[in-house]
Amino acid sequence: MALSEVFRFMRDLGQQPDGVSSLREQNKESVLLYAKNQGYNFTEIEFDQSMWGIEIHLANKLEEPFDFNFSLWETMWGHYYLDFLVKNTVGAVTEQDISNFITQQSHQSSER
Amino acid sequence: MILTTSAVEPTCCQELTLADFYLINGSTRPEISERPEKRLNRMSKPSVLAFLHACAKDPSVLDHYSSLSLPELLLHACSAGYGFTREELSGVIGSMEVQVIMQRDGEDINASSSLWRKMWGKRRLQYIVDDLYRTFSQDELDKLTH
Repeated sequence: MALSEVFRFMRDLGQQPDGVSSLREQNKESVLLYAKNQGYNFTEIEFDQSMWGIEIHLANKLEEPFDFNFSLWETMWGHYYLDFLVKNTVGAVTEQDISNFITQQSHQSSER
Repeated sequence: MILTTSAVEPTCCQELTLADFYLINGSTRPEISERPEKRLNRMSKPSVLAFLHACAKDPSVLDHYSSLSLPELLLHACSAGYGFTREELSGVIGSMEVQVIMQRDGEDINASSSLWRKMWGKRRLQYIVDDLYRTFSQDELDKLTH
């Protein structure tokens, strides 16, 4: 499933500090092209939905509103955006969180 | 990045206020009086804009602050005479983001808002200065503080 591919890519990046450092100054298109060339199979829309969705999932888990003051956003300061996503968005949730999120998304897709 | 998951219609742009986008609830953060940025010569939101102006004007200033965490940035900014809280900082930035996405781009605030792609390849403060602050006229900036 494509969403699991997004998380596999981000998890793998987290295990490869050199990979993050070489990509952190790249624009979004370049990073997604890199993922595609490395064999990860997902679209930009699926990437966006995965990151946005897991951020909402994290806010719910922490019982915080998903708004300007969500504590997650404060961890962006000082970091490149890719580092933030790898370390503090995907990096802050558990494998169970990701599994639950993907299952939830699958159910919602099948209901449409 | 922002906001609530509820859909926000672009048609309400004209009457948009930051309060429309906040979910007000209790905070577990320290009281404002405890925070270091409150102890000096506080000027609130205009001070946020003065800080961003200094970053936009001088690359060395932007470079200095870009690599700092939020607590570090608030401390250094306070020491340099900019007296604003994290809430005021996030409020000004949030207002800018809402204005760009809804009024300029005519989009909803969601996972695919065009503005978010501008965050890639740079640190947070660089994005705020280059893709938000620098794109606002003086009139638009003045309105942010009212």
